[in-house]
Amino acid sequence: MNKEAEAVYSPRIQTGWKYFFCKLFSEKLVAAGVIVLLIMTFVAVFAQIISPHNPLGVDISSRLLPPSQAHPLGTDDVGRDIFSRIIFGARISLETGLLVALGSMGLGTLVGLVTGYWGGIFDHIVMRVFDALMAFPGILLAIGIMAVLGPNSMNVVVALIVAFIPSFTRLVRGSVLSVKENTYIESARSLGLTDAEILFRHVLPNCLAPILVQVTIIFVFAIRAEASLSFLGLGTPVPQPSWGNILAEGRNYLRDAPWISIFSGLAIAITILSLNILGDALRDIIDPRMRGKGGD
Amino acid sequence: MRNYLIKRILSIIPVLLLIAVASFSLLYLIPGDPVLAILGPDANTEDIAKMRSQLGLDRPLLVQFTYWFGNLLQGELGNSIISGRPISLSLMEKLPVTLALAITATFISLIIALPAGILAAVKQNTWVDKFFMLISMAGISVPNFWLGLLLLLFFAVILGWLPTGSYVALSDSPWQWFRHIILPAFALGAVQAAVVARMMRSSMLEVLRNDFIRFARAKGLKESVVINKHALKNSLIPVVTVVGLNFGHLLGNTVVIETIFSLPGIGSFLVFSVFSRDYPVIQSLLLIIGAMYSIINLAVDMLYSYLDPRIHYR
Amino acid sequence: MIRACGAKGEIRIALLEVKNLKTHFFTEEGISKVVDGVDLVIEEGEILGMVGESGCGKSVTALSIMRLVSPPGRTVGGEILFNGVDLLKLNKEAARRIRGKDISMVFQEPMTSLNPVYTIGNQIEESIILHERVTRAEARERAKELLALVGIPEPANRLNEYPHHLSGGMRQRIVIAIALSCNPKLIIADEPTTALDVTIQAQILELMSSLRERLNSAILLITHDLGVIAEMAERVLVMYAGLVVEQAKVTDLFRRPLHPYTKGLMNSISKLVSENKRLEAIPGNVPNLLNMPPGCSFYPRCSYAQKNCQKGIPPLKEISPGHKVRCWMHEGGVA
Repeated sequence: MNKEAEAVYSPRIQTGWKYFFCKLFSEKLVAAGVIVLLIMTFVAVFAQIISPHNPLGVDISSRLLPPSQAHPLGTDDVGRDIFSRIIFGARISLETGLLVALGSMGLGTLVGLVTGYWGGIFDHIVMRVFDALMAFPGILLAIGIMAVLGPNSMNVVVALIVAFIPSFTRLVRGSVLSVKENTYIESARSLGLTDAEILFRHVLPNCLAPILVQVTIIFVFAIRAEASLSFLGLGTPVPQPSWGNILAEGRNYLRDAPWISIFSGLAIAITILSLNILGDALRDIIDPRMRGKGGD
Repeated sequence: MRNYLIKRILSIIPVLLLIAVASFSLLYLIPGDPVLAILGPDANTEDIAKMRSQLGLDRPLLVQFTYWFGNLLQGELGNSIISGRPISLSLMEKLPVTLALAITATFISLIIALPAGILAAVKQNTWVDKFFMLISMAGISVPNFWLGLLLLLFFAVILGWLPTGSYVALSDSPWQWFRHIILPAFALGAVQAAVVARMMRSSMLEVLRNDFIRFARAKGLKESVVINKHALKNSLIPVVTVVGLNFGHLLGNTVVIETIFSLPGIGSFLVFSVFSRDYPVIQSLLLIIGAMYSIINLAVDMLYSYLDPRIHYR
Repeated sequence: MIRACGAKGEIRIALLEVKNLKTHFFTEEGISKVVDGVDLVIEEGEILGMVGESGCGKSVTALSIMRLVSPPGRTVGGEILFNGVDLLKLNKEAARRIRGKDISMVFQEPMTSLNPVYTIGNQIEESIILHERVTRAEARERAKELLALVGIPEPANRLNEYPHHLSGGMRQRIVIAIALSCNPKLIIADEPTTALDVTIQAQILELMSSLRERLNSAILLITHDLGVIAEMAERVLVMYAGLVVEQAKVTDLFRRPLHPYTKGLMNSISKLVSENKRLEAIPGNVPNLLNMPPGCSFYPRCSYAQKNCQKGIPPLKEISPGHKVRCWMHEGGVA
């Protein structure tokens, strides 16, 4: 590519409402995403304090009420306050997302480091097992595992961690395999460093970038998966409020009380949207080479 | 070239084997006694024994697997514990529904995504592009079951234009088939459309940076020819891969969409059998879906090598 | 239309005349004046060399002539007279019609100039069919002839192959074949041999020479390699920071380089320097085009620099017939 042209690049200047879109889709959006996420986190952590009503509080006399002052987002079919339930649902979603992301990252990375560095029979067996796991679409695997374990929010975390470990392992193993060949590993070995030291001090830091990128992706996947599983009834069991199962309950009352499904789904959508925006921005910083894969 | 194809086709066999093993072992991963899990804790000893022999659990593991696998190769998947019907029969009824849904959804997503992505790439950094990025970002964030419900609410409940659920086979009535499948297909395909559109855009942008594009312009070719002939074929290559690989995801997501729209496909079948602990069905379904996913990945791989002459000879 | 007197006094028409060409790049950091007032003249059938470091504006000059400058760059001033017609004033359609037919271009990277998913035959014929009224079969024949012309063995077989089957040298020959396919009056070759092996380089240059003789096309040969200039060009322009700083017949330039930059270039080439002298790199860096120093742009690196060199940009002055230089040292030249 013409070197002279390559070095310089910038957005064209637009006017009027075209300018609005240009400006909107830049730093402002990322800021908005951060704010939304901070609010969500705050809400999740301080759910007990913020929530106006008991999310499990049944009150048949106030069932299926539309949004009002007492119940900002309405009530569901047994009179529980939707707003409170959504607040507590945030806790489940964020907890699950975090646990799954960190769990699968930790375990997956460990396995990837070991199999990549030492190889051998262990490597072969593990990779075959993971091939089998990856042969199923993620959600199906999760459903299968939930079928075995039974609906329970902890089981959801376990199932999703199992479903996502292979992606981390593949990533890390690939990185390790390429880093292993570098000469600075040889020199480290000749200096007398133990394998563990080499692994954690030299190999691991080089794999960090793709790992962090993957964590941001998995976090979003996990939230979505938990919502899907709960929606199907295979995740967080009723009456514990998860955005997914609130949405499912609302399905039966779509005609009479659409607000149940609308608001719970909105919560999911906004959270995922903010995470995606942030994820994109983070990915640009961590690994600018990935720019253009998800969008410039 | 032929050798390459044959090698690739053969390479899928170990994977299919693994899938079979994985599906089979599902039953044995259940903590505790699978029979009790199915029948419940109050079952009497007689029923337990009957179930145990029905499931073949009284025989050694390897024997069970051999029998199961042998039956599998003959197309015999056993019967559902709940309904007693042969699973293969149910599958033959339900698979076409899911496939119709998945294929229609893919079709819809491509119709939206490809032109959108190309347009956004060609008009990079103008308001068209920024707008596109916004919409596509929303598209990939929206949970498809929520979208499905919203569409249902709006088009079926409020407007009453389209039915709220169930399915009509294409062979019975094309128009009714269309009316019943359009909302679920759209819900399923919308997220896919956003993903593919972004992929198309970034692929096209990369291709447009290439020297041969500049050379094509230097030849004096019309811009439309440069884009549609020279850029397109190159940029479709990674897009095809994404679409193909996403098909598996799509299949997974049919579970939710079929549930919402009450479509009698294998997705809703799976959910139902998980609830009713119909383990033979669950095993078979996982097997079938896993196998389809792997075969599709293989097909995508081969399509890829057709599109990109550079990897013809490996 | 400029008429010049040739050696025998005949009237020669300048094929291409570029006057005060300015192409700027509008970036977030500012306006980068990549080409800022370039003049050049190419006669029919002559080989004009253009030499300078990367970033001096030679490629962008070429792209400006072809009207292939992409955003954020834009040609903002000057005239490009091709057979008397100002290319900059043509609309997009008209400009497009000239490309590939009257003026064609060969780029630096032969490895990537050809589209990997279409056959070679397809890419050659495409050009021919676009510009001439011929049938597919006729275009195929022409393509075969062109391949033979550029020295590709077994041309008929090659037509059905894909670019990745061929070596860099072969690909560059094919690119040249495409550039020639419609008998252009001017071929712009931007670093045509830089990405190739030294042995292949020689072959390609020889090919270009012999083709020029056959077809009488003019060639604008852009390169940073003085050796290539010495080998191929008849006249040469030296560019620095968006301006032509010296212009002469090749022999004159090598015998008596006038501009300090040209002298610096000569001194940094091993072949031209006698054995006892050290190779000298020109100290300093190419100026930042966003923030040009006032006065002569070479001032910061010039070993002959004097205070009054900063007073303004020196004009291009003719010192001896055909030899012009832009330098305050040679102020008192023939107008």
